Amino acid sequence: MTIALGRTRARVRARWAETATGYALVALPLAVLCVLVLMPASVAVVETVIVTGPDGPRLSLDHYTAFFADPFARRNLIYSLIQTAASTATVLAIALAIAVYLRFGTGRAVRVVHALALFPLFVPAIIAAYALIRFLGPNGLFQMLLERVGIGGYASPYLTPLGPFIGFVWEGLPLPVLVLTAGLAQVSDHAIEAARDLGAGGVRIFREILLPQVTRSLLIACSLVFLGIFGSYTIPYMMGPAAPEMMGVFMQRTYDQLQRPQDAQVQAVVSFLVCALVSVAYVRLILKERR
Amino acid sequence: MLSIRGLSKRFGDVVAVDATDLDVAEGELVCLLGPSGCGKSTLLRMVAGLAASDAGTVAIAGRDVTGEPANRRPTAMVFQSHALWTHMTVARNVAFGLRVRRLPAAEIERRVAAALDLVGLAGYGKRLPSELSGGQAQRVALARCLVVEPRVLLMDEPFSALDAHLRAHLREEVKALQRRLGLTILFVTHDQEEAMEIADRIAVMDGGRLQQVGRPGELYAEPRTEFVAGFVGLMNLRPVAVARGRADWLGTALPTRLADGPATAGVRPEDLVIVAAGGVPVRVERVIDFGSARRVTLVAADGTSLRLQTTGGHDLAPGAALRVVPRRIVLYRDGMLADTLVPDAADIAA
Repeated sequence: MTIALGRTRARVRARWAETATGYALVALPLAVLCVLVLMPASVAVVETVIVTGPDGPRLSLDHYTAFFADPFARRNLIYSLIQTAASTATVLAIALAIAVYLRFGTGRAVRVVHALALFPLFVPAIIAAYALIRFLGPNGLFQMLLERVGIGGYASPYLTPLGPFIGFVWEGLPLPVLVLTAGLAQVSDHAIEAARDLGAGGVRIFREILLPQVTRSLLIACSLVFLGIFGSYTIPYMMGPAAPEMMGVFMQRTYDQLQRPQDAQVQAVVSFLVCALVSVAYVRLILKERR
Repeated sequence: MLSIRGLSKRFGDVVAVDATDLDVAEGELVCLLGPSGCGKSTLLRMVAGLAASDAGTVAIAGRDVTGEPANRRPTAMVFQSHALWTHMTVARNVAFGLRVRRLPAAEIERRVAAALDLVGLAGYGKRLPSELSGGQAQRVALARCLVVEPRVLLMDEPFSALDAHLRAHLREEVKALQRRLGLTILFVTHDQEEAMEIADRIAVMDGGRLQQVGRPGELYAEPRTEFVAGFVGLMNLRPVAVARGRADWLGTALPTRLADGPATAGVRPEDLVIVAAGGVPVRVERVIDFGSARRVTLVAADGTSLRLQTTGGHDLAPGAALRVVPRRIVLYRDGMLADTLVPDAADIAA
């Protein structure tokens, strides 16, 4: 009886030690997350819903009403959403095409395309933006090449909405290519061959066999790209127009140049809510797809 | 129905299939039998259009389909890994080929139900492939092919991933279906027992070449090459020397029409007979009792191992000394059948 009790106690102690080790391992990153992200974010959210009037501080959505009443802020938000959606859709379409080629292509060209598709991953955004400006900007290499072959009237995308769009697509490609290539690797050759054998052509195989089997990878890639672009700063700051602005640039200017930190906080919370909505949609789609 | 002429395929320096000719008649089940890497799956894939041939032609029902892609050929293939689409229900998997052919929905529903019924899976339509056992998944793969009514059904080691009992059960079912529906089937396997059981004819392949095509019994009784002799059924193969019209088989000189030189002699285990006197002295090493027969491993004085099969009531305990004589010997020279010897008592005594 005593021996059995002793064994049970030893087992409980071992389990407790294991649990404690697990918590200890995650304690540091969790503390960093709390102190540097969650706490300031919570404080910012609280501050945006507290208005100090003659009767003292009170809860209010006045800051948000002001944000959505401001046509300039509204335009920036809509521009950011459209720019992000268009860039994300384009990135995913190109990444999917590249991933399909990498999965089913053969020969040396596959390795070259793979290396080229991943190359932007190792180029910092500021370098990429500067290179694109030199290439696409007025009197840049692209214009010179066009003029060399007799094509004039080049309208540079630099400082237009097309500028950051090109930057986002170039900079955003590697990650979804990696995710989709990994997803496509799960689709067996026999699954494709069976469809071909039963009479299916390329389009039907892509639509009915490949695409449904990489839905999860596509959702992961979509959310990663969307969140990355929506919260970006360097590329829209370097290549985009002065107005409208992407939310990141708008926030920075409001905080730094206009010295209105509380308005910048409201813009940050609105941006956070957009990203949270995308995250919730992503989780729901993943759960639905799993079912 | 299926006519293959001079079909060849190389992978770099390796010849996978070498100028192969094969005919499969309507309603016939032909097995391509051979060891791994002999080119049988490559041959099947070239018939399906999933691999391009370097030379030769494939004709199905009189139509040359050599240049046609897989999706235009009147064939359907059952893969070793069943290759079901895991995101589709069983019914949608089976209906896929019919949807590709743009059949009316009601017709698709009727034919899918009939196909699932045919393979004993009526009522399984709404399940996902992940909810099926290995045998059920392979039946769905079969139904998916049968439903499009192919002129030739191709099966690439369809049961090799299943356990022995299920494999035996499924090949009986396939054979019964083939007879009932008059299906033309080209079936790839490396399992000689499977081939012997299921095939109307067997085409034995090795090193990219067809070694012999014939009925299962024919291949066993008259193996035309040394490879077929060793691959189909058990055969005691050993090198012998031929000199002055006699082949020296374990000290017994047997008359042959072969010219002097080396050869390989083959004796089936059931063609080794235990005798009271004369013959070759051997010692029993191991006995496997199958109930209806016993398979005995023997060792001759020079260390040669022989397998003997008997239904007789001899004392065959390990270590026992016996004398055996061959009832029938086949001789191969340069891998090809060169002579068949049926020695009589005088030959053995000599």
